[in-house]
Amino acid sequence: MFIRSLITSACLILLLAGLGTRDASAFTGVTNLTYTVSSGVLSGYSDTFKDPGDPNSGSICVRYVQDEVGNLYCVEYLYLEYYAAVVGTLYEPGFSQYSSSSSVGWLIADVGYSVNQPAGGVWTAIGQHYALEDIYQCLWDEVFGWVCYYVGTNTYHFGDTEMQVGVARCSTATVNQAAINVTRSWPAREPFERAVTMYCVGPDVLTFGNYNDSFGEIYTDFPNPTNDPCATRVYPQPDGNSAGAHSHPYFTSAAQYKRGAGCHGQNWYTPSPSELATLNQQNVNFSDGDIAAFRCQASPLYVRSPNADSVRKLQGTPSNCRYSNVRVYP
Amino acid sequence: MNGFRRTLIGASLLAATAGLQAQTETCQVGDARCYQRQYENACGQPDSTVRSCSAWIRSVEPRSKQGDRSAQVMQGHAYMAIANHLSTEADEQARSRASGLALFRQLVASDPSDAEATLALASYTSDPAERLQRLRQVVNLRPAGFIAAEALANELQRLGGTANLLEAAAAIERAAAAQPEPHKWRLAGRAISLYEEAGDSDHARQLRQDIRQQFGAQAMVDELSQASTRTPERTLQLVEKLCDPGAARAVGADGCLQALEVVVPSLAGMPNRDDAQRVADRVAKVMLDMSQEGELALYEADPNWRTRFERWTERMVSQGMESVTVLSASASIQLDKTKKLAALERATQLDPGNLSVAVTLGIEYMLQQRWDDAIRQFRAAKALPDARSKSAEAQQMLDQYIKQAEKGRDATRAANRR
Repeated sequence: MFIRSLITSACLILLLAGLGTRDASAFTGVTNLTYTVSSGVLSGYSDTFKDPGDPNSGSICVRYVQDEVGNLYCVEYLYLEYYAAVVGTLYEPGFSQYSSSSSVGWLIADVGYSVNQPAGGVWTAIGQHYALEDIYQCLWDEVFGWVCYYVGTNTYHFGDTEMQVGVARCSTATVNQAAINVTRSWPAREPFERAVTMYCVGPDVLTFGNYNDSFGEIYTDFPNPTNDPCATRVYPQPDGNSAGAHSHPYFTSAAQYKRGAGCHGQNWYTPSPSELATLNQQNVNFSDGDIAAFRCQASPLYVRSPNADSVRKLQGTPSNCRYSNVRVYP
Repeated sequence: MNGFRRTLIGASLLAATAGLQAQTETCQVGDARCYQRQYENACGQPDSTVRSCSAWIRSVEPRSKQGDRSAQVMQGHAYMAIANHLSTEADEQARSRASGLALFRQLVASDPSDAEATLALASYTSDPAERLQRLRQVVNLRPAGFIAAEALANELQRLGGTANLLEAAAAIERAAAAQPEPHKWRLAGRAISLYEEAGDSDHARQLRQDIRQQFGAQAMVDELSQASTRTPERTLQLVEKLCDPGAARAVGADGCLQALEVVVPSLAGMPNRDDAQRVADRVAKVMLDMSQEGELALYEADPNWRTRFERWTERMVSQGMESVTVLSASASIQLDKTKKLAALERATQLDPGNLSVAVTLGIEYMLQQRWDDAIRQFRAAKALPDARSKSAEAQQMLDQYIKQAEKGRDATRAANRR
């Protein structure tokens, strides 16, 4: 009798240790996170689903008895109930935890995320997905029939899902239009650069700051002009809620190129008219320096071309430094 | 009517003067620089006109007819100046453009080794394929010409693909080798990036190693470590060289970080307080420039570079080197919003009349959605005695900021109600 009990317990322990019949691949997990500029709400969810058509319960006989004619009867079985479970955690930009909650459901387990007026930057939602298996031990009783006792729960962690959303509180259309408006308000051709930084300060509310020009002649209150006709300053914020916009120079004489510290500090070099024409032609697009500085930035950079009445946008990606370069005007 | 006539006469005189000015110098045959000066005087000044430029074209015509190629090249540019920025009439623009292009094509056809005319064609053609072909020719003719090399690299990089990127990298590397310091570091950095983008990490590594050796960062850091022998000027010279964003792209930012690690703590020990403040201000500016233009190099040298920058600016302040420049740099570098505001608020206390700092503080309040503080700050800025704040442009800008802050405040209130 002692030995038999020991064997039954061993079977149960094996099951509790995760060797049950439940196939965790029959569960699905999903995490979603979106930011709606118009309402200023970051929302989403992490869900764990049971796949359609999957059984909700099952049983395994663990002990049989044999009658006098040799038929086997189950006298003890394990009854299993399957649940979905999820733990959802939301992280702020900078990866400090904003919230965490969990849920268990028969068919679906769901946790929601909602943040009103979230801080700008990259928010991360991580859903940890579990399949739960409640185990009941059922014994045949001559008087009451089958009697079941809850003995424990197997937990299968079958995976995590993650979604990141950059909260830029201003819509792309708003930022593009602002960049087009501000850069096109400048003269198309000047032998120096102008720049401004656009800050998204509320739900689709932009403001402009740090106007400057190469030589501090137009924006005289700017404290730190570059003294370089081929350079200006923009102040993108790391959270992506800002954008830089600048113009490129158009040179008609070598003196303009050599003015101040000179283009990229090269006031020692006198370019020929063909070289100046080359610079003017190339200035239709972003320079290598623009690309190097902005390819890994969440904040976009705009350039007003001196050669054509056009505005281009460079949008980098912080995670892999890939970027797009498109014309936004006309 | 009289006024109109006077204006016309005045304009004619101006044009004639510009034209005459251009012709006062007689150029030797083949003296390209001389012709360039004349051309720029007639066609490249803010007061240049179609008339002054056309007059110069005519004045150089005899030389051009004698086969002086330098005169012909500059004549071509003069036609293009009329087409591109002097004339506003479409017909005149088209005619001049056609004349200029025809002249350059003729020059290249008669001498395919004429790099100047070939580069002009590359710049003025509207056909991207021809531009690429001409730029390749120019780079072959003049490998040291960095402007053409960079233009070729830009075109090839836009096309993409391993072969194009490698060709771009090689062109920039060749041009870099022929440049003086510090320009060569910026170009070398670009060549390294191009090799990396092309997937040729061996070549990139080798070039970086060579450039590092030439740059000599360690020797500079060692010199900075000899506190007793260095002057403030030499300190600044070394820090600015080590922390040049263009150089950092080629050689890395390790040397810059090491230099700052040595220099910032040593400021407190400088015997002359004014020298210490001057060095602190310049070092803060260097850090600001590096944080903006050399971020990638800094990150590669130390992913926690920003924390170090924050610590250094805080240290400068705690050592008594508290100035608007240091505090403004600190505010730009800081990610901690509370510290950012504290630095700007302190800067405005130090220099209450500084419009730039006052506006920056107002913008920071807006970024942190402290709308009422922002509105109050911008109103205070409007009342600054600083004469610049009284200018129509500054007043208009501040009014715009106030409106934006009010709009932001209203939008936030509306969102909160929802």
